[in-house]
Amino acid sequence: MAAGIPGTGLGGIFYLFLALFMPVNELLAALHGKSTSSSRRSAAFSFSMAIAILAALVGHAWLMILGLNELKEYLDPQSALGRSVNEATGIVSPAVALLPLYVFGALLVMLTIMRYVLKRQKLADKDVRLDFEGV
Amino acid sequence: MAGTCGRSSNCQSTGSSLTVLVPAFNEAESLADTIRSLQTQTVPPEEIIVIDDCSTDGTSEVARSLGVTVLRPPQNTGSKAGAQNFAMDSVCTEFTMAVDADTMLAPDGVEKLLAALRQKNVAAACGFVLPRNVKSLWERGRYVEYLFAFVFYKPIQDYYGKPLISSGCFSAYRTDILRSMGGWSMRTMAEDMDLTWSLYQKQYEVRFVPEAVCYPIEPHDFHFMSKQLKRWSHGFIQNVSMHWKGLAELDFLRWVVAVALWDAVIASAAYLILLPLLALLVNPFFLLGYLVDIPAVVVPVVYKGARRGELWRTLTSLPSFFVLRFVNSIFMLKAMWKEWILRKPLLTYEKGH
Repeated sequence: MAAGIPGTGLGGIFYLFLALFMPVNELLAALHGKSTSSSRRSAAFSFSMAIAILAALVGHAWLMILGLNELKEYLDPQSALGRSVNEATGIVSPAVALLPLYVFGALLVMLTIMRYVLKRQKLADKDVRLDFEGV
Repeated sequence: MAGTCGRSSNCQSTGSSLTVLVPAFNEAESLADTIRSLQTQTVPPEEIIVIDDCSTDGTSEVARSLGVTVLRPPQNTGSKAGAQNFAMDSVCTEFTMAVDADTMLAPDGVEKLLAALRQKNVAAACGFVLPRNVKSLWERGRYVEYLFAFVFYKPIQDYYGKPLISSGCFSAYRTDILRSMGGWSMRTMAEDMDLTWSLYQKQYEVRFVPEAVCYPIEPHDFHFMSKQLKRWSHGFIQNVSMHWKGLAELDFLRWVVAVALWDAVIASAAYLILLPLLALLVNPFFLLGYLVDIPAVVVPVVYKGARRGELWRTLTSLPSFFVLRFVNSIFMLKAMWKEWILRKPLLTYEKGH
């Protein structure tokens, strides 16, 4: 089965980051003598795929913005559609494009905090058990 | 589940040290193809065991006619996991493979998968899954979904040492480790995910082998698809509930599951509710949100489709993926609502055909 919804939301960003990080990871592995030809091939493939996806995303966004700007030229700015297109060119901006990154960062922080809390809980449970056993 | 196996007369010494388990409930139509694809492997299994889970369509007869071992529990076990566990006492080989009754393997599928298990700490290995038939909207959507997941996501998961799931339709295991885990648990609707995450918590490794290809029959209509999506979405939520504390300890996997959960729940809600509301109340161009990530899906899918000589099939199947994704989002949200809010877990395993 495929968990999550491929291609949506944060999954895409997460895996893009992972793939882009692979050459760095391989370099570190090589320094520790742990890089293999198989891992290098895998890293090269996924990294290339990530670069291609990024280029396609940037190109796609550029085309969308171009399309909206062209549409603006032909529409009466006072009309409902003209106002919508005008607002849309403001929405489709780099700041908004970075929104998923902020969400992703927030998710990472939440997960780190959760892990820390669970670890503390586990240690506390261990202390209680040791006390009970009279250690 | 201590082994009390005696070698059946259908056992043949092929050197693979592999037993293949094929759980089947009313699979007479597809079973023969599956068995033949197993018998003609470059490295054939030593034994193929079909577990006929009280079928009523002659499944046993089809299997026996092809010379494989057939086991029939005294009553329906209720799930694929139950059927596979029923056969575990009969497994005497070093490796055990589980293959769905509607799944054909590429001729070297077994050989490629077994190679990954030669490393002692590797407990399980899974292969590349592609739908056998790509005709209906649902099969086409699943085709694109698998191309994307198995070309981009899964190799990355494998590189970092944690493939998310060893797919139940085609996976191989070290028999001793599988037995030590108690086989496949029936506590969730996604026994393959449950087993995979349990293996990780016991510090075992799981590998993804993209060269080992299998072709299951995927749902061809909405009725069949809805049963499968229901099972998968509930299975995912059930496994997250069950394993979340253990997952928090596992490097990389905790991130993968957290992101998958976010996508399944929050992204689905944004997809189904937030974007349409924003489009209606603020600006209709918020609907562009549905198009924004098209390149992320298209690039790996078209690449692999072209490599397989299936470019036209891939391009014409892309729209179906976005329909399937929409439907998938609905099932995920429903599953989350029922499992976590209403506390009404899905307990009945239904394959749907």
